Amino acid sequence: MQKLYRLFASYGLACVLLLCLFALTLFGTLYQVDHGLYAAKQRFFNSWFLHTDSGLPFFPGGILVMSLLTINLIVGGLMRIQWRKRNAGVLIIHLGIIFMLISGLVKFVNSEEGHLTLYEGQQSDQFISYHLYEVSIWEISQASQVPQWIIPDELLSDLAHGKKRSFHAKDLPFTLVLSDFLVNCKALPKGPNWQAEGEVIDGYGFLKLPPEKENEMNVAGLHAEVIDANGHVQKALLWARQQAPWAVEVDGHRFAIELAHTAYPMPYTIRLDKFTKDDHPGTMMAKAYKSQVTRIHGSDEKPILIQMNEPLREGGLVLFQASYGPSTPGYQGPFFSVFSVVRNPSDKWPEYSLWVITFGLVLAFGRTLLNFIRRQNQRRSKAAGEQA
Amino acid sequence: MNFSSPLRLFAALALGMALANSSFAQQKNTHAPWSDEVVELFSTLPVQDGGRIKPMDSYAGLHLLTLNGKRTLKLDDGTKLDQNRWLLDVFFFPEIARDYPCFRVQNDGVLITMGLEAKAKRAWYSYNELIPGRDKLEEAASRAAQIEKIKRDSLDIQILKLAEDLHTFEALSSLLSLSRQDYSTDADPALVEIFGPKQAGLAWMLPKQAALQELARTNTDADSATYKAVRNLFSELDNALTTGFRAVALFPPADNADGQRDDTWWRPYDVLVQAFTTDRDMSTQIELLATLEKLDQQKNQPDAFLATLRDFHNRVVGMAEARGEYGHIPLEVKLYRWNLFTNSLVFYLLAFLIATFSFLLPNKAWLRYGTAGATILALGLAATGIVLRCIIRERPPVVTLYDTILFITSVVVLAALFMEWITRQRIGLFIAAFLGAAGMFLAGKYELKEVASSGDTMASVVAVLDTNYYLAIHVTTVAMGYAGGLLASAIAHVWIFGKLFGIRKGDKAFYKGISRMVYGTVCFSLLFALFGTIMGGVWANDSWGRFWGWDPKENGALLICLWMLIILHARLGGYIRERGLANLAIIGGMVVSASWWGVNLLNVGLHSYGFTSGVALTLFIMWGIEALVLALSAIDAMRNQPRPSRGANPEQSA
Repeated sequence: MQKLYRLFASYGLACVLLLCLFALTLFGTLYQVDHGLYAAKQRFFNSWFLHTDSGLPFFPGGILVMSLLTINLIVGGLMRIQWRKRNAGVLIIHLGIIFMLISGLVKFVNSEEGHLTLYEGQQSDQFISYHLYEVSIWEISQASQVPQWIIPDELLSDLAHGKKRSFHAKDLPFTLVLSDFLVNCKALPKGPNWQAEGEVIDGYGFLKLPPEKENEMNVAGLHAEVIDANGHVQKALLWARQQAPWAVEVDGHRFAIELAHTAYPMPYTIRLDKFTKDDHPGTMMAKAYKSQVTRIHGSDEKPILIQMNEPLREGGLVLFQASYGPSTPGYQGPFFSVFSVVRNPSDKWPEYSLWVITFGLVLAFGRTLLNFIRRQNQRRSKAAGEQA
Repeated sequence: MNFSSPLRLFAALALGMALANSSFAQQKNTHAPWSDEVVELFSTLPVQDGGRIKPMDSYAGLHLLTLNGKRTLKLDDGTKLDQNRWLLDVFFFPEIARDYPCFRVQNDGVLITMGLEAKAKRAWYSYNELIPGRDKLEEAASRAAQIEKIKRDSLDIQILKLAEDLHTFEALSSLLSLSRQDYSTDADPALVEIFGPKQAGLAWMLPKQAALQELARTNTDADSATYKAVRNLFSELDNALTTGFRAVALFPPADNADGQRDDTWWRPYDVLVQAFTTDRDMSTQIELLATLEKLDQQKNQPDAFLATLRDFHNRVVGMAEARGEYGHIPLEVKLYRWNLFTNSLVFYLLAFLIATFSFLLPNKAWLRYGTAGATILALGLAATGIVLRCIIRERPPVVTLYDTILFITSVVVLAALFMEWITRQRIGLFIAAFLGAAGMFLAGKYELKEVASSGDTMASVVAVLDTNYYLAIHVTTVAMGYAGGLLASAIAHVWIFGKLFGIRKGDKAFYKGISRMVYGTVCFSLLFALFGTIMGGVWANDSWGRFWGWDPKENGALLICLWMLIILHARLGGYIRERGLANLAIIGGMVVSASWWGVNLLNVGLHSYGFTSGVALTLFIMWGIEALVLALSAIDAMRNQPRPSRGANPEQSA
């Protein structure tokens, strides 16, 4: 136990872990050139291990390295270090970094990210994930078209290489079997010149496409089977860009099944009243773009301006002015405005940790600098005395 | 003279024509030199370019720098033209300016592509020399434009540049193209009734455009002569609009019809378009256009030209002042005239020279004071330039990549001088002079690149950067972190080369002192890099909705922080000593250069406003040299490693 304590408290482990994080950051950056940011994040930073093409782990991933680094910081930087006045700066720095790493962990585990895209006059009370998918099911005869059953991304995105998963719910009169999740594909009428990925259903098949560098550009697809209580099977392709959900009839009830990006509810509704884009005079370079929105909560309506560097923080969500469109030169509108929406419990924590770390750094290095100047002055005085 | 035979008559006529041609040619290629008063007035004219109001002096200088690689132009006869005289010629004597060798072609492959003969590997050409190869150049440029930016080779880049440069020159010389056209205002009695006797230029026609439009509306008989004449005149005006749309905007605009202020200044092109399409009161702008046309007509009458230019200058400046847009113009003219950064480089070089002598003559205190004096003067000049740029732009010191060079160089020099003040070992002084000169040289080189790519070194910023708070705090502190890393690396070089060449051999205190300097500078770098990096995350959290996104620029800053932390922890853990610290500090310098420049070459990520190109080779050379230094250090370490003797503790003897 003592050995383990020493190991986790050691400078050696700190150096190794920092070197690992350095290597991950360096290669994760270079990897983005050919594979895009999302793929790099998934492979290098949001992983426990980096794997070879054959699936063998060969290097610790970002999660593992940062977890160990946090333990190393706690054990070595807080517990083992002597709590003395002269170490106050270093202790504070370590506290600040631990707090920052924890805020990163909280965000990683507990945040939701997406976008809200509105034309002027449009409103919405939900935002859509950039990356995650869900399969939603609802009975078409229902007055409201709200999904009644939702299968989340984590139960879909691993269904590759022939893997299948069955879903059944208490009030659902059928079993839904999903398989062959494709990250990027196109649903097309099957022709002689291309090989469909998986089964061809009703003359349509999935053309598998290479993943785009920008993950948001990928369009996922799935094979679905509905099996009723009598074992009768109905099959379909679910494609994230299809115009209408798959309508399936079981026991005289009609159900809609749809694959789409995950939608997150918001505690209020946002209406885009006006979008404005100001260019630098005589150029087409945007100087500012801003959205005049109304936040609607019940009968309470509040006008709010969202613009670059000035997001809306309300109800546990942060809405940022992300982009706009169409961006065709000379186009005068109507525009749509895109807001990035984030639900992040640790939203402001990194900022707090910044001030803690800075205070610690100034304390630690300021003290070192003053000592150095004092020693140099003493050295010079001594040398002058010897000369005299 | 006896013209008794037809042959002699023909010979005499031919001689006469040749003489006439020669005299015409002489007339074509010369004009009275522009007086200093004309140049002064011209250079301080405000114009709008790249989204900001700048003096004509800057506009001329930046364009000549783009085409020619310098702010002055050397003609074939050895005469030197400054940027303002060159642009005056381009505006008013374009037929002469087309013979000026103002296009620098850095790759003779471009000339071969154009089917032209290269003068030399790197040479200057005139517009008229290049025009025969224009079609081939455009074809090659359109092919090069299809290639992904990161995959373009040097020839592609040069082809695209020269094609763009020719367009730029044509845009510059098109200022008065609309006014120099011949408009058939006398082709029909109905037109004569509207316009009266035909005059030169365009401005005189514009107040009468309503009557012309009315005539066009009422005259619908397609077979009538009036209909055809009106149609022809509109066609001439329409054709005129195909030129001049890239000319400089030098007229403050009229307010909108509803009285709202318009921020976009006008070119002569806009005056024509606005006159025909809006109800604005634009009599002042038409008068300005008339004055500009008058200047063109008086270009061979120096006194009249000066008087008219003064009138034009006073009107435009008065309008700009009334709009609150002239305030920084005189300051910007001074910034470039004082040549602060070039002069700073000169003084850094002088300081470096004196510093080198001071090492040869260590007992001469005046050499040390001389080095310090020249360095402080150079730093003062550079700092003045940086401050002036801040005032002109109303922005913090670091906005563009060019700014980073000026700022980082100054911080490095200041930190090295501070170190010298503490240690008094002349190492800080020597490094300050060396890095100051290197930094200002690099700034001069990169200025060219930045001007060629964005047209300015004080260009307008993209929407996300439009926040002085974060620019002031995040960007400057990260840049200070870079400065610390580079300074630590430079001091580490002193340690390694000192050991390598056996300087002050056996003086352990000397080398320990240098190590302390390296350590202190690494701490300085970490302090600012860490603060700046986290502050960048806080900014990203407000702009893009996430604190950390593993974007290349963010990762570059993180790499510096991680490396500095590795150095400190390795030293605290006893894994490195003096040499190890020096070696790692040199790698730290490489990491800084990768973060500062390398990630901008990747062309991926959200920091697209910082992307650059064409510096990869310099970067690789620098890394190659540093790798060599590290290899030499390793060889030196092996050479001086004491042989372990029985019973000796290798840890102690290392």
